[in-house]
Amino acid sequence: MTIESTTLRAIEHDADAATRTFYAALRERRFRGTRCLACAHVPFPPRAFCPRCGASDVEWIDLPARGTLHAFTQQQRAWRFVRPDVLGLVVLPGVAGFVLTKIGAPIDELAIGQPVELAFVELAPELVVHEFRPVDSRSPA
Amino acid sequence: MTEVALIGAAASELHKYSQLPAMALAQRTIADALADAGIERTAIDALATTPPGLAYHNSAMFVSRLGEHVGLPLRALACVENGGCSAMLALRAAILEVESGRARAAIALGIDQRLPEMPAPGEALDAFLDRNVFATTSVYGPYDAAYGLAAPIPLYAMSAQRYLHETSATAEDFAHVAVRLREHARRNPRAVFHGKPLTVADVLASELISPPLHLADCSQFVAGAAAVVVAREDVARALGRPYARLRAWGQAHHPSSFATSAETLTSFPAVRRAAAEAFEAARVQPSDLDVIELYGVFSSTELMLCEDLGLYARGEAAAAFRDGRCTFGGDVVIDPSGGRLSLGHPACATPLLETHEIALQLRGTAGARQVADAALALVHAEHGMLNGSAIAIWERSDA
Repeated sequence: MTIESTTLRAIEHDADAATRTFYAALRERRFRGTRCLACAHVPFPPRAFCPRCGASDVEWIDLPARGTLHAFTQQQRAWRFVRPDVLGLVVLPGVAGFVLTKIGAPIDELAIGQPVELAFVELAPELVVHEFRPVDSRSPA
Repeated sequence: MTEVALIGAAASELHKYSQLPAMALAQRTIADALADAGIERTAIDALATTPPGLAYHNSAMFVSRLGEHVGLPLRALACVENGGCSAMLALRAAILEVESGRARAAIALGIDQRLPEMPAPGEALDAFLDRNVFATTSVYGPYDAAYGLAAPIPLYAMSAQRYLHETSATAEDFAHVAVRLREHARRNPRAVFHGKPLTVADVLASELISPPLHLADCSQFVAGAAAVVVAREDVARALGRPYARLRAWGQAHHPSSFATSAETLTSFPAVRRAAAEAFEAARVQPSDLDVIELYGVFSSTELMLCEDLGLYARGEAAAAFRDGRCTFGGDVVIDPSGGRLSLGHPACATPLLETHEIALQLRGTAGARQVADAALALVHAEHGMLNGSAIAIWERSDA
């Protein structure tokens, strides 16, 4: 029994179809969300229906892999991702809502408004989460 | 419409961990509120309560057991839960029973039980972690909890960071708020930080819990309970004691939970809308208020709330706190009780602790922390990270 397996069990305990699809996509290293077929609203977190217009038909799309760092901090006390790990809120173009995410860089190298891009972190084989890293700090391939 | 009077209030002692079983604490607090009101038990027609804490075991069907335990025959009995707003909305339920004419008098109770976060006897550490990770994942949801959110502190920290970014405020300004509230607690023997002085340097030297928030910028979770009695105004008048009258209510819920789908981290639509509704209905201005109790759980939030309530322009609340305009002798006294940071914060009871303070203030019985000539007061409560907000404006009955 680990924190990761418990988290996964808790996620699946009361997950709706959208949450299951979102985490299944992360396991395949894809960052997916929903778009309303009626009004084109793209909410984060994803929904199996449209929370803006109430339509019941949505489609799954790849969410933008680049965004802007809106705010960031560290935690002294938590179950996981404690200092020196960083948490942040990222704004993605065309997506309504902040994405709470792990930030893959030291806190003193970050600034509000900085461009960030998507990566994936495997906490356990069955639990993959998203992470955003400063665009400029990419190491060359 | 029936006018609603606030005729009695009681607050329990506040402790880090519960000293009494939930039923005993609830019963004692209700009895104290009834005694304070000087009303016969038989005049009580409704009881609305919170659950006995948001993370407390054994809370199923709490309200029906409580109804049995206290032995009141009632025409309305309900448990209301909406995070930090729970007690405020229990009060709302009590008010509505009085306004509708179904209840002559009604009790609202908020109670928050806390136990030490240790494994139960015989429970292995693994099982304890499993239980707690499961519980917090359920509370913060799959999109936040997977990132380690076991409390909303990092979200408020990012809100504070944005406030520093968007205004000219500094971390020292946040510290000034914490110090001001601690000074108020010096006047309140019930406050958990009564008699424990705090300086700006102390705040900035305290543990950096989640930058830019230090430990002393955070509210102090405690166990405790508070209850109030509301009644039809003719019932209040017949008792022949001073009381407060409900002047207006405002309430709004933004379709968001914590930060995930909010639009901004430094100004809160639910607070602005609830305030607009309350001030319009009361036909008063924010500057007319004498005393306020805010559900500000961090020093940074306290500033943003003052601005969203319309007390100060954007970015100007910091100077108001620093210059002593939000304390005794200033424009308005904010959190004479010591507030969430220094009185202590039993989340499920907090809105009624605030209302208890306002009941004393409008009656003129707040002792060393009495706001001179207090006649008009506001109580604010919220849930999530200011995702929803409820506001009551109370006035002294002879004002």
